Amino acid sequence: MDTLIFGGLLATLIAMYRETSRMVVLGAWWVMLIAVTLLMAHHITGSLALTLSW
Amino acid sequence: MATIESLIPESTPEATQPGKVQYWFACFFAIGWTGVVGGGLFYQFAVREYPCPLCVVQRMYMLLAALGAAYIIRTALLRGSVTGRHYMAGWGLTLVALMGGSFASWRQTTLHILPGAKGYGGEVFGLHLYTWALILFQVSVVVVGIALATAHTTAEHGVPATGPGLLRTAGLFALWLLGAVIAVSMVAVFLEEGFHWFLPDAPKRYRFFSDIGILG
Repeated sequence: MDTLIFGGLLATLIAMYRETSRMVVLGAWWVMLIAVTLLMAHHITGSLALTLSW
Repeated sequence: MATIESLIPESTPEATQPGKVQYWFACFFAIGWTGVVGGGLFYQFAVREYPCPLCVVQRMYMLLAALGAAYIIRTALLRGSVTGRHYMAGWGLTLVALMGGSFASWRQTTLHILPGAKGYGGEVFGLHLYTWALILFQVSVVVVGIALATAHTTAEHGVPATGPGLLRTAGLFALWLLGAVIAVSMVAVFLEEGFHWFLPDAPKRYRFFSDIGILG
């Protein structure tokens, strides 16, 4: 999954570099953001177990 | 209702020198975050530390933030001008990525915050890499906020970067450097992940080589 996401980031940059439409570039960026966030959520498997009162 | 004043560009494409500050800052910002990810790669290979899943996620957010600045650079390279909407779109993307990265690095920092906790990986100038990441993410939020707040002076429309010159060279350098570091990151994480969907919590080897039977 990580490899695919880095591939997606590279594809987003290539879309920026070439004269791709704004909607495609921005859409690709948001798709990658969602993918990264879902990956992060997958790796957060438990609470922090801190006894903080704030 | 839009008035005629709001439809006319605030200035001609002939920008003043302070008006190009945000373009230069976008180049600096993209190169800077690319350098931070490059530093992580250097640490990974020179010190032989295996980045954990959250470390890799933070690198992804860093690159997403750099892509926000790259959007501004790209607009200047293609059009020779950057409107307020383009500046806002680019910095908006950057801010969203910075907040995601802030959360990831905060989360990893608090995993190791209790007294006696050793933390993950080595230290640089007394702090772990994820703690530095948290600091840099937060500083970047402030700096982008300052850039937006000073936009009247620092973000004029005209950024003549379509022809040869320093503006174009700097922009192309930022984009190519960003592309190179993303490509190296992709290869590095593929070697670490191998033919698996996810990284283990505490990677101990490059699984690609054991997957193909080169290393045990």
